[in-house]
Amino acid sequence: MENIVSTELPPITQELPVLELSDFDEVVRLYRPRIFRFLMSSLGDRDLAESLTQDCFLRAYNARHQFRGDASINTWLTRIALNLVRDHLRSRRIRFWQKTRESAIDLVDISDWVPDKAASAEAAILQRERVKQVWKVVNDLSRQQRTVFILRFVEEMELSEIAETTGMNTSTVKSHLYRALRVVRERAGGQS
Amino acid sequence: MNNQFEQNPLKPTGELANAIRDFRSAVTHVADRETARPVSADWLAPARRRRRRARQTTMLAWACATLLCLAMLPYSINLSHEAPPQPAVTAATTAAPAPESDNALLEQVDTDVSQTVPSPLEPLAELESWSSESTSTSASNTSSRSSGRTAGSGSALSSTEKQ
Repeated sequence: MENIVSTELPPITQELPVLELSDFDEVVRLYRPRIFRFLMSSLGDRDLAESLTQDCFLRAYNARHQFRGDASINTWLTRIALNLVRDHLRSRRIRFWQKTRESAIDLVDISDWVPDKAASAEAAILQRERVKQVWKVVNDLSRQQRTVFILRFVEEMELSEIAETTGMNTSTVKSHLYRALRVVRERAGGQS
Repeated sequence: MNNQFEQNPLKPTGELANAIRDFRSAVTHVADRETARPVSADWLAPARRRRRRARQTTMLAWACATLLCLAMLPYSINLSHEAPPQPAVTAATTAAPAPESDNALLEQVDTDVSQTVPSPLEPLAELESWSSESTSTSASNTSSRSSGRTAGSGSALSSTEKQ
């Protein structure tokens, strides 16, 4: 899998479409859903997630020679995506006069998501409501807590992988995760 | 034991675990649905356009900042050179109208000093002078009063006293 990125790809020119490169095409095909999922759950905005997914793969393609295979491609791409999220949030804070899109939970349509096929209609509605509630709480978390929470429970990364991706040490990751879980438990009403 | 103590708070159980599992399931469902379509050949073209535009914006911002600094440079140099003579210029400008205002002020002071009583009390002063000079006629009093009023209220009493 690591050979996909480290192959000698011809440099991008204006005339050559990027995705004619079959190896990088494979990288995109394999990792695009994951990166999109991470960005969408981090930002709560489908269109923005799509734009940043494109930016992420463009950056990855431009920096493909810097990839040494120390981390997995998934970790590498997620780190790029995380930097993009950070840049975006910073620029949005600077451009405070611009009306930010009210996205989050309402724009991401989960109406056709069927939680459990065996569940009754009433139970399915309750599950959807619970998911919406968790999503809202996750969006209200601080940026670092949200990142750690999503990487742990959506991307299902190990704590060491999260530490590598975010650049934090493992104890900081644990601390953020603990606080995030406490907030989600308190506000989403789950009892554990 | 220690490991269990560290790991347990980070592992949700019960309702919370179910809620988080459903959350992941829903997010994955949406992501799969959105990325189900294969990407087109120019999928990265918008990203490249955005990148180019961002670079242009950054360069433009730096160019504007540089131009602004260059435009401000002569002003700052002028200010630093012209700062000492500035008080002299202001002194000269304030000194120019000074003689006129001084003359006016002196005239006003003269007028005020020559006035023995304030103008509202002037009739009383005239009554007093009238009683002290019982021999004067009412006609001359009237003429002196009228001439005093036309000449200035301050000189009315003095003219009466002279008579």
